[in-house]
Amino acid sequence: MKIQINHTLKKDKHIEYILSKLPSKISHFINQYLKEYPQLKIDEIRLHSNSFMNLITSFKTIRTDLFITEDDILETSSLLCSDSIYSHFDTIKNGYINVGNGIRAGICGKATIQSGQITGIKDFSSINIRMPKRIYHAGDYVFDLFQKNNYKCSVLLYSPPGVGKTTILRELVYRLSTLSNPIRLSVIDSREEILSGLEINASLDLYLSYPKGEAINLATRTMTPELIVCDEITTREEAIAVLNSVNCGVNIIATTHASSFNELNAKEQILPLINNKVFDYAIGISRDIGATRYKFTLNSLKECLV
Amino acid sequence: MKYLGSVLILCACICFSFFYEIKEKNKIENLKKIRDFINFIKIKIDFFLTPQNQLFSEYNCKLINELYNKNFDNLDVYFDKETALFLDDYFKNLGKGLKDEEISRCKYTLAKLNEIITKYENELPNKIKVVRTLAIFGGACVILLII
Repeated sequence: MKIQINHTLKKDKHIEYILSKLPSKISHFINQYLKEYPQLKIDEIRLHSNSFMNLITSFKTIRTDLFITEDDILETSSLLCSDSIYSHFDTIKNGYINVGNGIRAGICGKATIQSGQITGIKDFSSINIRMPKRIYHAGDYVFDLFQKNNYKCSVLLYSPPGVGKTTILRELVYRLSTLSNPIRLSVIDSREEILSGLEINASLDLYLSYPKGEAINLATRTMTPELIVCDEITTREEAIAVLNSVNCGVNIIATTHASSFNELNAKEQILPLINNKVFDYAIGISRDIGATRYKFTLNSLKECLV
Repeated sequence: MKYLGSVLILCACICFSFFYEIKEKNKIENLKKIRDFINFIKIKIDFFLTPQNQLFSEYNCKLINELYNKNFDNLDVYFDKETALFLDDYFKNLGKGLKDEEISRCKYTLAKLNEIITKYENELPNKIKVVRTLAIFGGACVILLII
């Protein structure tokens, strides 16, 4: 007897959701692809105008046969914004669209600039749709370190883009927010991606879409947190906010882009934080191509002075 | 019979001119409704960046609901061909631009609608006079022929 498997049932809810938001040409193609390769788990959908669509799965890039035109990019961006590009104006300026359901689409095109500030982006040329994913127990290593330190230490996680800092942070937030003896936790989620895909009912102070620096200052002053979790420290203002917060006795878990500890030390905005011993530990994250397990490199910063 | 026919023809001509007047006034009313709606869109985008689907669901107007339900394919039922084409272009491209572009398009559409409304309102009394005269004159001619 031939058993037919309904592959559509196997698709995760993020893929289902994003397919409903894509032009029929693209969604039909991906649907067919998933039927052909049901074991495939799509992490990213990359669309470039006048080029073929790429699917990224567990660090492997698959170049598909689907040719994407400028009109496809325009239609996709319009659909991702629910036919209201203007309502995503603020995030488009920062290079992304919040599609909903925790899915974020990076977008680039031609920037319009006034007095050195980006006022808008037009002529979109490529879109990168990233699926939020949960890798259960990904945050265990950092969580155990916290437990050893009685939840009183500050940690900086670093890795190159796309390795999994936010995924680890997400799992860590999940573990920290579901403790039997809860700690006062503030999460700064300026791009609405840390908590995407998580169903947390625990008490948590969540700062959604705030500028990071301001949110850290606000949280420190108003929510009396024991621990602040913040993704991607990129500017000097954010670093200063972290410094001020730690000086107020609040612990911080933050992430930044760097491929090695030496590279981390060379970062202008991170260096004052290391010199002032803001973080107790800097943890490097790496992952082999195609692997789902993370490798951690622990650097104790208490004795370290660059 | 002749006189009864004449009276009926005359009544029909008067009714025709009367309905024509109502139709023209409705056209202006519909244009004003569209103008109010675009003004609403402008404010909502400017201050709240309200998404398109919410704009239509929040606005309570029978005409707008009817147009939205038919995806703005029935504009020519309510407006003349030129205005319908102009409004079709506006609504089909709504939501495809950034905030400033949308507001500029709203302002342009509002200015153009105001222009059309003023033109229609100025032309209306003369138009009604002409239609009424022609209808009565035409009716009188037919009556004369019958008699």
